[in-house]
Amino acid sequence: MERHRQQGVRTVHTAASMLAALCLFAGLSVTRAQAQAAGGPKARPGSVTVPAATGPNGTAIAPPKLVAITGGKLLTITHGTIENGVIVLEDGKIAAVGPAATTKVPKDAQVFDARGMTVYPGLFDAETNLGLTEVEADDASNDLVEKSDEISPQMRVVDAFHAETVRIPVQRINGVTNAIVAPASEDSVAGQDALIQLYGKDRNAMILTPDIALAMNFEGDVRRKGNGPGASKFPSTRMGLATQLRQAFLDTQNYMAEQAAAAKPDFKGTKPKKDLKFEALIPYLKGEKPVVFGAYESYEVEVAMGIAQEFHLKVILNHVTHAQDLLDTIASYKVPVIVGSIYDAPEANERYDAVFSLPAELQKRGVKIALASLSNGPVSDSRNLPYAAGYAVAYGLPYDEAMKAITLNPAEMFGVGDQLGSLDVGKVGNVVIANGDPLDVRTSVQQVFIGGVAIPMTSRQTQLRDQYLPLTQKPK
Amino acid sequence: MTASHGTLERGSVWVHQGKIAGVGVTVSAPADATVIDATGKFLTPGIIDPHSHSALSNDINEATSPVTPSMMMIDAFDNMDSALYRALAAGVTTELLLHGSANIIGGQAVVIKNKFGLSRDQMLFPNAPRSIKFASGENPKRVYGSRNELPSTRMGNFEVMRQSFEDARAYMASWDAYNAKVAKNDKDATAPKRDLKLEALADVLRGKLMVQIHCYRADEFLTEEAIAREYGYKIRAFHHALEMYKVGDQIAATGTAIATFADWWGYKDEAWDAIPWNATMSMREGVRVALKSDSNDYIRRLNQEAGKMIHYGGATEDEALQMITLNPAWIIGVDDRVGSIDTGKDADLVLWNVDPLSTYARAEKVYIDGELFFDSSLSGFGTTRFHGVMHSSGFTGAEDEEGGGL
Repeated sequence: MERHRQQGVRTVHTAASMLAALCLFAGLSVTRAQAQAAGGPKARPGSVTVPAATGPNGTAIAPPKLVAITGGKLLTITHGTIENGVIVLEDGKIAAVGPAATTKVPKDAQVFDARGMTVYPGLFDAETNLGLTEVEADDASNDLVEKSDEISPQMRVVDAFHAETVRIPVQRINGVTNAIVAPASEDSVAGQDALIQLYGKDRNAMILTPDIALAMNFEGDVRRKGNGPGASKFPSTRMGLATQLRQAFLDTQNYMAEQAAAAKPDFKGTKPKKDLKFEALIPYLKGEKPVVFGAYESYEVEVAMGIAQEFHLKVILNHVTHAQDLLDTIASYKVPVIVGSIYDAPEANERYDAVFSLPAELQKRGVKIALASLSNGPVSDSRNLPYAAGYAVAYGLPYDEAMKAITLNPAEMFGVGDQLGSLDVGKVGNVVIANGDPLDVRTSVQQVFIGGVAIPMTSRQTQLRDQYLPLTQKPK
Repeated sequence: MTASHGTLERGSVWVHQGKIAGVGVTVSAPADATVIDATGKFLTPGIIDPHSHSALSNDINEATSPVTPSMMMIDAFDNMDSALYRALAAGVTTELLLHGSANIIGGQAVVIKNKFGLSRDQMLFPNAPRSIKFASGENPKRVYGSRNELPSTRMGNFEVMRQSFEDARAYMASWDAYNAKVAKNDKDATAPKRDLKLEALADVLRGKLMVQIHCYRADEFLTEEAIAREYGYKIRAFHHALEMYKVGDQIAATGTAIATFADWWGYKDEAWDAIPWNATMSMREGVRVALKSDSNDYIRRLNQEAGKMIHYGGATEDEALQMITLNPAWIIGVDDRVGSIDTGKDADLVLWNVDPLSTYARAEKVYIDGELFFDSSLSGFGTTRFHGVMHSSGFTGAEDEEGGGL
C-alpha cells in the first residue's frame, strides 16, 4: 500500500492520527506469503494477516480451521474487558477466551497478533435491506417490499435475498457480521425477516435463520391508497389500518379453528384448503416467534401495542423515534425496542437532541434497546452502525450499553443470544480486530472473522481504490 | 484547532468587535475582557457547509425549464426554519444555500451566517461572492426526459448548456454594439431588451458568478472543464464529485475544488463507483477537498464525516478539519474572512466537549461574529436569540433523495 507509505512522510500532528496511519499501514501491508505460509504465519507486532485468494462470492479458499487472536484488548460484552487477551477460534466457533496469562494458544493455530488493537464480537444490525436492493434509484434491482396488499405475512425475504450483492462486502469489512434482512416498512404486515451472516459462498451459507420474525408496521406512511386527494381505496386512515390488522388476526384465528376442526377424525365435509397467508401468521399468533412492530410516534406506539396485546403477540418495538412523552409507558410494556433511527429529525420546536437522547432515556428505564442502520436518508449503511451507537453515548447512553445495543441485545431479541453477540466460548466465531474504539469514526477495522474465518478485507470499493491508487502516488 | 496552522494544546483566542484579535499560547487581551475558560475542551472555527438546501421552504428546484439562472435562492429563504437551528446546534456557522440539480443551469445561491433568531437580512453573509448552481448527469435528464422534453440524455444536457452560452454571447454582443453606438453618439442607438436570464448567463461568462456544478462522473468533470475553457469561465467546485479519485490529477491542474460526501454511495447509477477514500485520494492528487451535507440530517454531524477521513485514507486531523472549514470557505469565496482561527478573521467559533473529529463530540457553544448564538447548557432550545416558533420545511433537504426535492 504505497498510499500509506506516502502518508508516513506527511506531517502528522497528533499521536492519534499517527497511530491510525501506522496501523492502517501495518494492517494492509502484511504479505500474502505470510498468510499462505504453512502452519500459520509468525505475525509481527500489531499486525494482522490478510487472507489470500478468494473463492466463490468473495470467500477465502481453504482457510485454517484453528485461529488465535493474541494480545488484544477484548471487549467481551458479557464479562467485561480483558486488557491482554487471547481468543481461539476452532471449526467456526469460539473455543477459548481469556487473559493471555491463562489462555493457551494452540501451537498449530494461525496467529493474529492484535497487540495495541481492540477486539470485539461482530456487530449485529437489527434492521437492514441487505440483499433486497442494489441501486436504490434503479427499480429493477429492488425487491424491497410487495406493495399489492397491506397484509403480506407470506412474503419471505429469503426468496429475494441476493447473496452476491456488492453491498454486503462493503458493510462487513467495517465489522458488521450479522444482520436482520427486513422488507421495507410500507405494509402493515410486510413479510418475514431473515437473519444472515454477512459472509458465505452462497445464499444457503449466509442465511442463518429464515423467517426469524414478522415485520409489522403501524405508521402513517402505509396509508398509500388513501393519503391524499382522490383517495378511494381502503385503508386510507390509521383507523382503517388498525381495523385491517385486527381483522387479519381474527381471520387467522378463525382459519386455525377451521383447520383444527377439519383435522379431527370425525370431520365430515370438504377439508378447507391451505391458505399461505393465514399459515404464515400462525406461529406469530401462537407467540412462537417475535413480531417486529414499527411505530414512529408515541400515539402510534400505543395503538400498535394495543393490537399486539389483544392478540398476545411477542413484540419487538421498532422505529420508536418520537416517544419522549411515553418513556415510562414503553418501559412498562416490558418489550425490547429498536430505537430510531436516532438520526431522524426531532419534531419542529423540539430541542435538537430530542431523538439523539432517546436510547439513553429508554435504557435508563430498563428497556432492552438495539440500534439499526436503516434511516430516512438516501444512505443506510450497516458500516455506519457503530457510529450511531457512539452518538447515543455522546447523548447519555453508557458505553457498555451502546456496545450491547449493536451486539448482544439484538441477538437476544431475535432469539440467538446463545450463538451471537459476545466473546464467549461456544458462540459463532464472529470477531473483529480494530485499531481503536469501535464506536469512533476515526477507527479502522483491521480484520474481520466470520464463522471463524479471516475474511478477505476487500469489497468492490477497495478494488476501485486500489485500481486508482497509482494516480495518488504520481510525483507532483 | 486552528485549521490553518495546527493545534495549540493550551491556546487562547482574543475576540474583539466580532473579529479574532489574537490567537496563540497567550494573547494580549485587555484585563477587562470577558474570560471563557475552555480548559480541557476543543475550539474550532465554525463549520462551513458548501452545499445545503436548508431553509428554502422546499422551493429547491424551479424545474420548469432546464435553464433558470436568474432564480435567486434568497427569494425562498425562510430564516425561521428548524433545519437552521439544528445545524447551528452542530456548530455550522456558514452555509451556501444552493438551487437543486433539476436544471442544467439552476439558480443563484445565497450565503448565510447561521445567526438563528435574527432577521433574514441579518443572516446574510455580508458581501459574499455570488455563486450559481449548474447540474449534469442523471437528474436533469430524468426530470426533462420523463416529460419527453430536452434534455433526456447527457448529450442533451451539454448541448443545452452550450446553446445557453451561445445565446449569452449574442446578448452580450448586442449590448456591446449598442454601447459602442452610444459612445459614438449615434442617435439611432436602440437599447436591447434587458433579459434577466441572459444577464445572469452573461455574468457567468464575465466571471462575475462562481460556478458550482453538481457532477458525479469522471467523464463529466472533463466535459465540464472543456466547456468552461471553450466559453472562458472558471469552475469553482464540482459538487458530489464521487468519481474525482479517477481523474483528480487532471482536475487539480484546473484549480477546481470539490465538495463531496464522506461515504455516500450506491443510491443511483452515477453514485455506483463512489468510494469513501474519494476525498483523501483526491486531496493527495492535489484537489482542494471539502465535505458537505446536502442534507438536513448530515449537516448535524459534518464533524464526524470529517473524522471518517482519518479512517478512510489516513487524513491528518488538520486535513480533516480543513475539509469542513477552510476548504468549503474557499469554495464559497469567503476564505479570507472565515474558515480558520486567525487574527483578523470573523470570530465564528465552536467550543466542543471532546475532539470534534470523534463520534462523541457535541458542540457546547457556538459563536458567530463574536456573539454567542447557541449554548447547549441553556434550557429549551439552547438558542440565545431565538425564542419563537420554528417553521419546518420537512427533513430531508437533499436534492438527491428519491421522493425528495431531487
